[in-house]
Amino acid sequence: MQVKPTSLLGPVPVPTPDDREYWEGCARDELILQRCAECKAYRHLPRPMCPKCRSTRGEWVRSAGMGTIHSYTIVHNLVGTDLGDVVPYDIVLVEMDEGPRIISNMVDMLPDEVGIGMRVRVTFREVAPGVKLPKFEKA
Amino acid sequence: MENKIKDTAIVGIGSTSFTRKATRSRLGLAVEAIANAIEDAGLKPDDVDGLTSHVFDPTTEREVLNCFGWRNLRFFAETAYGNSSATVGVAAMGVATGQARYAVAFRSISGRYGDGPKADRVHGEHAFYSPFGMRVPAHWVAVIAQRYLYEYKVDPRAFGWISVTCRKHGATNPGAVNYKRPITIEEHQASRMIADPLRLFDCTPNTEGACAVVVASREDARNLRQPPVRILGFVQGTGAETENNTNYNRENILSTDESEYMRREMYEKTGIAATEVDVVQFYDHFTPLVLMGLEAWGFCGRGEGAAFVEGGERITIGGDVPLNTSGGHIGEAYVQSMNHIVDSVRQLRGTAPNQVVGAELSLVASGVNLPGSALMLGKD
Repeated sequence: MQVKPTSLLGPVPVPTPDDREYWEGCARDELILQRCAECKAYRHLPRPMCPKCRSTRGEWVRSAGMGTIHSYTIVHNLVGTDLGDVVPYDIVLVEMDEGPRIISNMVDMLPDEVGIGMRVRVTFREVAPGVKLPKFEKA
Repeated sequence: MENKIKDTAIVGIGSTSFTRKATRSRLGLAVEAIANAIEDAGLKPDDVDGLTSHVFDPTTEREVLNCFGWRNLRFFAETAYGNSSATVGVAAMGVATGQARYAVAFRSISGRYGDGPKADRVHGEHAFYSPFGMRVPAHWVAVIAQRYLYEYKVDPRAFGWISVTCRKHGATNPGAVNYKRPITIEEHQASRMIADPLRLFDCTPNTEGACAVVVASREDARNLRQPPVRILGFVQGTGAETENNTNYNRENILSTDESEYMRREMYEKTGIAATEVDVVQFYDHFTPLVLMGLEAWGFCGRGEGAAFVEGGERITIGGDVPLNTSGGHIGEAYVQSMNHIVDSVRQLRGTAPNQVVGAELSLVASGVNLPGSALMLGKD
């Protein structure tokens, strides 16, 4: 059985003033994470204020790109969507070594190979002109 | 702790029929349920001066008031998140503060609920989820459920006892979409996988219907048609780092903080522990969250939900903790727990389809993992 190459499993993300840098980073093949410029606490999803110290000064830091699968699901059934025969596919929740957890997909694993605790590395896939999504491969 | 809600009561309830197919007008359903509730209370439509609804409900106050021809509603509000406890609770706040004398809370659901975004672009919070194939709430919750199984080392079959119980209760409720259609644990296990570990029978079916309640002061309630059902307490709660069932950046993604805060506050306000109630209604959109809810509200310890529901006896009518006694979402219909509230009122009046003998107290609580609300209801 071949790993399905589908990269786009939903709508295309459109940046907002809160998360523009994140998506621009992805377009450059960089996973950048937001943290507080004062207390250095990471936060995800991006936001205008630090929930720990309430500073409104944030900064963006390039992630080393390594993480661990914290949880996942395998989607078997899609009702009322346009995705046809792409099931089954995995959705993984990856805890980056820096702390934030991000939702994504594996690019080089079959659904029943996915497991909590596996080490993974970020990679990027273009899903629309100039738009890339962070994905993961086995580390 | 102050509790101004305790002098309010639910004085009328109304529902439409519940069906699987979406064929009716959502506004028509709302109007029908509201009219039924007003009549049940022994009131006239012109007595109503307050109206609350849910932000997810496409049926707005102004459409409803244009149907009833109300000249002036003195109080109206919309509530957000989990369940309809807040919609009723805020109606009670309207009455308790004198903003309204007779306030109606309603919820109407027509057509499919829970579809993923249909647009080809997305921004904001969901830009981090739906491009990766997270299209419906079942996908969000499956990631939480998978971690639950990993941490507590339980078999996903445990979730099935929630389904079996809700379907069992629905099967003996003539108003339920699953009337006469119970399921066995084997049927739950054989049902198709939606998003591992959630199977079809772990999820609420899409249904159509509406429910409404009328809230008044305890004093006014005594002069109306039905035995009053007191709202003994109304609480809301949030936890840190919260989203709408996608709390993936909480330190612990299994955290049920909002429910635990509500549990404590409900006790401080009412002096009644959740475990004392005769009927408990938990938001059963997805079965794993019901297990986590039972843990959060103190019916069992953390991670002990599977053992607690094993076999279903404890949570079936006749057991210690009768759960979702009209069938809940999974057995009766998905009306965002407004139907749970209606069922609890009937239980406390002694007129429920699956009556728990001598029921005097009921808790209606929202699901875990998102901002929540809960009501403690009691026989007057």
